[in-house]
Amino acid sequence: MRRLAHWLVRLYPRAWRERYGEEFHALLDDCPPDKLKIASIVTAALSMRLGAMARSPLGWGSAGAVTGASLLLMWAAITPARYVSHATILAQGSDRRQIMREVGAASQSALRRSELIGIMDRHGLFREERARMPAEDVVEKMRQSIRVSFGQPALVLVDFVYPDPMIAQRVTQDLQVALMSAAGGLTLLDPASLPTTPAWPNLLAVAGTGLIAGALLGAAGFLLRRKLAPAASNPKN
Amino acid sequence: MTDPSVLILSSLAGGDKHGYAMMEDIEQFAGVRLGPGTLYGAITRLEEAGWIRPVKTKDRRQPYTITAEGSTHLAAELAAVERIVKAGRRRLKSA
Repeated sequence: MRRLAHWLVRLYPRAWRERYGEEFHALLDDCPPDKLKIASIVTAALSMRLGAMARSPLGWGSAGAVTGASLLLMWAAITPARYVSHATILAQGSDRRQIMREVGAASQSALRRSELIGIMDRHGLFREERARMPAEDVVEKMRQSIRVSFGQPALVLVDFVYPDPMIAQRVTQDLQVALMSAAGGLTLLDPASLPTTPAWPNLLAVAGTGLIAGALLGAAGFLLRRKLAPAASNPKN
Repeated sequence: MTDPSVLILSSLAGGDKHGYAMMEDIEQFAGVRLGPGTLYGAITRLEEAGWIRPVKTKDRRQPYTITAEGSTHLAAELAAVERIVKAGRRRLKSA
């Protein structure tokens, strides 16, 4: 029974144990804990721990971190996953500026409205959006899902983001073909990849962001509360 | 009227007591058996508020006494309860 009492007392915060632990043990010697008393002790100890947390910036920060990570993970769970397909093209030529100019002009041609609508029709992209949004907005949305960038030494990188990995790959392939048709001197280095893991959600990044943002908000909330209601920590209230 | 703080203050108003003696006394005069967690949760709050304080002892059982501030608080709490009781009785009669 003393062992049980020892573990029950350990449920309380350290500062409380140091002040009341000995006399609380004495009380438990006088009235050995049954189920009801154990429930009373566990509830009181947890409430005291939560109370101690509510009075410290660390407690607010921890609660904020857990809440932030949970909310972001829930949000990640209900938003559709997004996959990125990549293709790499090698631009031949010694003048990098000239290559960038040519590829820039070619990508403008490859991303023009009629070309993108053709790709959308071929692969059935953005069906829902096309049903409720003006064509210009859908074309803009597709442009935002495409990235054409330059890498060293003379690489052109084409990315396309979409919820379906196979469609992402097919569209990247179409974009890469359109780009290579519009500009000369381009050689395909890596064909459009089939993504196997989603770029979003990256659960580690999501949880990390939620933890940090939540901890900062929690600490800010603690400071704000202390400023607005300093009497809240007074036990008489 | 089962607020542990008021029950403990009422018990200590009758004399200094340690935790177990308070539990027994409260059960006798109020018919409420406080659990050890509830009792010490309330003792902690009452001591923080300055309404009770520990009495010097060599025993492991720590007795407590009610302070002047605690007596004033208890009197105010009991007066509030009295007002409620009177109003309730009056309304019951006229119901």
